[in-house]
Amino acid sequence: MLSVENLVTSIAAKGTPVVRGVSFDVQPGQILGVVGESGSGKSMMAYSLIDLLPRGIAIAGGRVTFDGQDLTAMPVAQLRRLRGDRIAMIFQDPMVALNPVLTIGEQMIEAVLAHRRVSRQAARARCVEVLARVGIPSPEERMGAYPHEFSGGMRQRVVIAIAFLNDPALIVADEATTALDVTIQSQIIAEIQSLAAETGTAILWITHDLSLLSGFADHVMVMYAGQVVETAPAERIFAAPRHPYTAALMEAVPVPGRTRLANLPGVPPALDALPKGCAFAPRCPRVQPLCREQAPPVIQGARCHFPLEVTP
Amino acid sequence: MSVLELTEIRRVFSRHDGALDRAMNRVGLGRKPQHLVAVDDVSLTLQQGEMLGIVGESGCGKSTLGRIAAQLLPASGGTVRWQGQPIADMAPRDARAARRAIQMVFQNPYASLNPAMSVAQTILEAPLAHGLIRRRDSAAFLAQMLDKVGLAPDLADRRPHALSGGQRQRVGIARALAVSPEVVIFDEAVAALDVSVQAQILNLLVDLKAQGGFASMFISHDLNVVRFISDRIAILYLGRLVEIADRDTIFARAHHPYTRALLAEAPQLGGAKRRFTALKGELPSPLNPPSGCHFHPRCPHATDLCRSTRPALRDVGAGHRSACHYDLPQVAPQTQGA
Amino acid sequence: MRNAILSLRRAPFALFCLALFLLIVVAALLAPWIAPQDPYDNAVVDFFDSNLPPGSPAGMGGLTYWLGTDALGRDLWSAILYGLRITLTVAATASVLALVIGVLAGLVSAYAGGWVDAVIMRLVDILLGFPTILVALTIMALAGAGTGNLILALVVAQWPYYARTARSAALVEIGQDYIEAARCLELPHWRIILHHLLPNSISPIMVVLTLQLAHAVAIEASLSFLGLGTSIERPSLGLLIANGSREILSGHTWALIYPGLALAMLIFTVNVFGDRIRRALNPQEA
Ligand SMILES: Nc1ncnc2c1ncn2[C@@H]1O[C@H](COP(=O)(O)OP(=O)(O)OP(=O)(O)O)[C@@H](O)[C@H]1O
Ligand SMILES: Nc1ncnc2c1ncn2[C@@H]1O[C@H](COP(=O)(O)OP(=O)(O)OP(=O)(O)O)[C@@H](O)[C@H]1O
Ligand code: SF4
Ligand code: SF4
Ligand SMILES: [Mg+2]
Ligand SMILES: [Mg+2]
Repeated sequence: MLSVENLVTSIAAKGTPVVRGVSFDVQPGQILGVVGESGSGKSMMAYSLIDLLPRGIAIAGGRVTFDGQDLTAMPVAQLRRLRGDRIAMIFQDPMVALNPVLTIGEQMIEAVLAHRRVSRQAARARCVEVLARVGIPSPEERMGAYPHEFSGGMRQRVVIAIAFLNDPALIVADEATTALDVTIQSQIIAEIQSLAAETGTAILWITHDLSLLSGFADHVMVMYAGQVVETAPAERIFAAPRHPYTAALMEAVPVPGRTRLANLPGVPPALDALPKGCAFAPRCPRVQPLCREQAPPVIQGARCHFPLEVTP
Repeated sequence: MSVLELTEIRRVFSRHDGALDRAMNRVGLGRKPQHLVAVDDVSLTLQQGEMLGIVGESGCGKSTLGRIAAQLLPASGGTVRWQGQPIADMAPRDARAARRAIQMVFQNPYASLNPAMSVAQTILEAPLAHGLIRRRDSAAFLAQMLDKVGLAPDLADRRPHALSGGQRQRVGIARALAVSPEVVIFDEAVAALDVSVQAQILNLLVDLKAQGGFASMFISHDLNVVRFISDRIAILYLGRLVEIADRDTIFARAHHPYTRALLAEAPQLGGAKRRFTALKGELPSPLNPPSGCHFHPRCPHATDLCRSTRPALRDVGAGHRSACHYDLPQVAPQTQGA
Repeated sequence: MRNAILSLRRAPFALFCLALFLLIVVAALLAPWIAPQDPYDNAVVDFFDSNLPPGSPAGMGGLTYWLGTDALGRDLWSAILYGLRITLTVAATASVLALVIGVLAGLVSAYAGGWVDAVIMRLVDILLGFPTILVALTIMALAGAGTGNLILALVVAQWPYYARTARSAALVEIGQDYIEAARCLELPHWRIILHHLLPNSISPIMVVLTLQLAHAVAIEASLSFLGLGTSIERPSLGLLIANGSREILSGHTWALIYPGLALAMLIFTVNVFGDRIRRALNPQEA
């Protein structure tokens, strides 16, 4: 349904790439998890798909196809119509999506009316229904409340409710639950799961929390320095990571029984001073001279010259 | 021996309760005063050398408790004892010394360093101002502190903006350790860091803990991190201490339904794919907390007793205390990560 | 702040104004060396040359009065340079004093909170409630004319602006964890205020400085114009304008126009680059 081919996004002025040749497909109902450390280009990749890139950053190559249409070639007005209707977006900070001077109800009804030709009452009923669905208590009353009257978790649920409003085909969620409590996060993920299962909505779920994805994604994509370094079905990648970076990330997570975490030295490289060859080479425990010379190929989903063996 | 002892600590934040509001209220024109009980009769002791994890959801009063313990915020009630003596009753000199012996490391590595000061200035300022070191020893002292937190010596002259998040957090730790504290309170000290950097800092904390010298409170919302680092764990809910026990007891035999829910919801790496079935209901507003047991609207076992009566924190096993009226059977063995 | 100054590079007009302002300042500072005449020296000023139009030669000696002379026969160009010098000295001294007092008051107010804050801020509100010129006029009326009192009036009228700005900048910083950390380290209060709060609250204060400097020049000129400022023998720009305005009916327009132009240029250039810096520091307003 969504197909991304060799997407390259750069800071226009300097030509520094922030997304370097990303390709993937998302099927209806699929939950694709994207994970990576800060600055790995997760957000820029997502914003490229739906033309929300910050000023000065632009797509420099590749194709993004959604339902057979090339989004990169689409007129802005048409893309804007698609957004909020067929494709919905959830950000980490709910206030990005909410207008502080309008009530929740006004904003939600607008969001419905912008894409659907229904009566105000019908739109209102739909909003109340969706608010109830994401776990807002007494939704009828809360329609008249302003965003600042909600807690952070409730606000994020409102944003998620807005994303659900028009039964989108794809939801792109960028760190949507990062700021929320675990019990609230679980509720929201439960909603996302049932939405994906019931309506076939595809989910692109961006997070830096590997543990979260392990309970909920169908497929996982690991990003590092603007590239996808490993992509695989969730069970496979969590059971047996092939890329040394994926493996190191997993060993850095505190899990029961560990008394020491993997010390992955250093920090990701600056994108305007990428090392020659493999971008992970300066931190990689498996690095060989070849890695510093040649960019690694993608072998069985891992972008690495010397991937870890998979024990069957 | 307990270094720091908090007894029945309470902290209330009030709005619309100034002199003007009260006067207006008398003539029936004022706004209704609002009282938010951020910390509600919490008693804790911190033993020499231990690391006590404080876990809870946002707004449950973790930071407020930490700031009261660090004497950055006055309590509305209760006593903070330093080595057995209430700090409030100490002579000013001793109170200052006690306060200095309790240091804090903050969450946000960007806001917790003065952007105008170099690494060296940040670390050396307090020890020099307090005369703990002599100016001519400062270079050696600085080198020692940088080494202790794993920072390269050539970073000494950098300003915070030229440091990575992990490096900043190390500076924050060095700044606290530079005054040789006996208690360090880490308030979400790794929450803002990337996984790999978080691992570096957690390893550093494990090493520092092994070197001994200070007891600590480790405040976090992340059960996995707290499990990794703490010796004992306290769980807060809406300002109240609901359960406290040593780490393995909490994970093996959690008593309180809220603790159990937290354990069930915390994402586990390598955990099988599952349908999320969360605890129902929203975290109630601390401005208007539920009656009786604060947890009752979300608790699957709530009864009328729970709705009416606040459960006392009671002993349910050696040093294991929980604030639930009932001894509920363990539903499933609490083996995590299966 | 550094970025704000760098951003001037992309604003050629603001940069031009800054250059012009600096040129005016340098000219004023160097007045005794570059002015063709010492307008305060009665031995040099020729009373018989009074009210000569621009470009006239001096009655005695080889001097040309490029901007004409005033009613006392002073070379107007020289008088403007010297007048600028007085105006700038008064305005700058007053601004610096007002800045020091205001910033300290603002920082202490923000840091101490409670009744200290309430008292300082109430005073600030009261002073800001009146037009600046009225406050300055009142002080002059109470203290009498003279350069020292002029500076006093300017300081009293202007410190509240610095205090308010410093306080709000400091309040933002006080919310930051590094102030909390400094308190936790039991650093002395003065140290937290001077080493932690001040350096991080300085940018908006510098903006206020540029704007208030222009304001101080204007007030000084107004007070002098009203005869409350500097002495007749050593006229500031404002007094030159006042004198010039008395000549206007006699058709000696230059005695008003040129000092007026100098004053307008001074205020205008300071305002343009000050405004530019303010916008660079507050991107939302741009
Ligand atoms: N507005 C911008 N202008 C210039 N560079 C930017 C901008 N926004 C992001 N970048 C750069 O693009 C790169 C990728 O950033 P991106 O926000 O996609 O990372 P991310 O993986 O989403 O990280 P995080 O987990 O912190 O959100 C980073 O190196 C970042 O510095
Ligand atoms: N200065 C204050 N004035 C008024 N209310 C406050 C103040 N500080 C904290 N509170 C309130 O007290 C409660 C507890 O806050 P606290 O910051 O201690 O929570 P926390 O557990 O640290 O949460 P988080 O995980 O979000 O940091 C919250 O409801 C908060 O809104
Ligand atoms: S290519 Fe080499 S350096 Fe890069 S990840 Fe693989 S082994 Fe490591
Ligand atoms: S006291 Fe009642 S409501 Fe509270 S946790 Fe125990 S069973 Fe649940
Ligand atoms: Mg991002
Ligand atoms: Mg907190």
